[in-house]
Amino acid sequence: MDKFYRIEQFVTRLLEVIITCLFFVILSITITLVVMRYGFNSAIIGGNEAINYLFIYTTALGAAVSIGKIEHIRISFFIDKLKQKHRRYINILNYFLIAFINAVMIKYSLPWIKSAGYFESPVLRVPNWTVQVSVPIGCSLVILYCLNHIILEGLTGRPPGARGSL
Amino acid sequence: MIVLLTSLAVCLAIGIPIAYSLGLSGFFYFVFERPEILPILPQRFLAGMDSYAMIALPLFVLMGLLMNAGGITSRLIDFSLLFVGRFRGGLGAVNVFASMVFGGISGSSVSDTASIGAVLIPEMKKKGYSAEFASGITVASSTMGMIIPPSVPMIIYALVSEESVGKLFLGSLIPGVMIGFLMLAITLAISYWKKYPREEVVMTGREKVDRIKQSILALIMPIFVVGAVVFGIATATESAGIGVLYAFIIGTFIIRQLKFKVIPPLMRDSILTSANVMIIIALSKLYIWILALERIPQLVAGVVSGLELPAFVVLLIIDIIILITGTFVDVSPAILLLTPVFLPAMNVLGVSRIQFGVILISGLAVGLVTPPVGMCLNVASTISKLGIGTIFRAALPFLLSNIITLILITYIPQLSMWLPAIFFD
Repeated sequence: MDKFYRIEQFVTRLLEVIITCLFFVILSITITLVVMRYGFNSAIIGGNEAINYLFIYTTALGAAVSIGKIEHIRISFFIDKLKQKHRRYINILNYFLIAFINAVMIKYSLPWIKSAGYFESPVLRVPNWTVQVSVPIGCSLVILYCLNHIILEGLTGRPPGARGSL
Repeated sequence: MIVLLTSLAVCLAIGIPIAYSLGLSGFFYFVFERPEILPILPQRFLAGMDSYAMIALPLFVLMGLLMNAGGITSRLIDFSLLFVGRFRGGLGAVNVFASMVFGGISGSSVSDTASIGAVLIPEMKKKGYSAEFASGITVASSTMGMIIPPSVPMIIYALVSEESVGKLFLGSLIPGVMIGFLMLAITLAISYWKKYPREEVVMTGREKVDRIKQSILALIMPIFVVGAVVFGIATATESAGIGVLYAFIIGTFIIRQLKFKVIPPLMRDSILTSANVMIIIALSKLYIWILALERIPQLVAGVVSGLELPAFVVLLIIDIIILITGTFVDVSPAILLLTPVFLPAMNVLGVSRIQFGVILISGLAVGLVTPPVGMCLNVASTISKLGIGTIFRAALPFLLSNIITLILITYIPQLSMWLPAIFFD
């Protein structure tokens, strides 16, 4: 089981590094845009569009990391009242349902990307698929985390966050 | 519609994250009611994440974290000590005063509890205050963090209600300060009754001037950030970005306590916090869209106008619903769930979007201090080693100031509308 924990930790750390770097770029562009506007009466063409797209990626990847670290906002009032054994079954069911809705997203996003992905963005002229693909990427990662948690919780009976979170 | 609401209730009850509960209920709605539009699910999801205004969210969170890591908490406490330390129960008053100021800097109640509580709860216990009093006052005063601008929940509300962030920031200023002064009065009254000690400020004149100088640099930040938005100099996102730069400069070069190595973890925490909220926003947009499709907001507005109850009774009922929701649901999802349902009804009652925003967030703030899900309670419990029930009971007298303010802002619109009217009309 340790192998599963280690793989999850590695993936989580890698994703955290990626989203932190993306956030740094967002922050840098935001500050530069203000400095350019008031200091030099100029602008970075497509700056706002770029930070918007990067922000979408940070959300898609960050949501997956939150599943890995069991940090999503939820109402645990009722489930906390259950016995450990029952809570375990409910947790496994929850991961199945989360994986299911993300699989639905992937199923319907692929034909959509295929049909509308070649359109270009208004300013940067990048094809839309570069942003749209964040949906299946993020959802796939969520599914992987869910499956890993199902395996860990199902086989060991321990909540994945007990060792899996960083 | 029954499918949507029932599946949402079941998913929430069994502990599925709120974001995915919204997604699943939307999916079940499409399957049973409108299967022909099921393929638009990912489009609505992406559209929900695509928000320039919400980029302000991680930036504001980072600004608060940088200020905290830069040593601003201890300076604010010293600064507050200069003004209110000499009163009986001085440290209690410092706790409230520091939260008022810190709220303007961090925009987050939880970080307020964590940073001010970590310093003041042990210090108050050492000086003879009861652990219950110290923890109760810390959690109750931290509720101001999300009301006094700049406030992260206000930005979320601005997005859902399509109201100006600047107007909302100004609208929440007077109610936030009111809560602070009422809480200060309650603290001083309890301290006088329990004979808590006064604080002696042992500082030379020069030290006092130095402390004020360092604190002033931090104190002008919220004025600068909110001012930039109010006067249209920068968008909320840009002003938050500049606020981050400002916090970095103050922490690194003026106070000199901010270390470079802590910045990447702070950035990671900010963006993960933001992702947690953004994924709820993305999927709640789907839920809001379905509500609009089913004309639920209009239905609620129709029911409210058809009730033939006096407006003040309806407003009281809505206040109670907000308080109960805040007890069980976290602030951000509660804003996203309640705003689209109640906003048209508020319109019928003649309540502006700004006033409703201030009412909503002031009411939900109380939920941070009530069991079972009060996040500030959990933080204070970790610091003080007291149970959350004990801390909640100790916080009750102070929460009276939140409730009084909530009632006042519900029935006196000028309290939330006066400042926006001065600056925007």
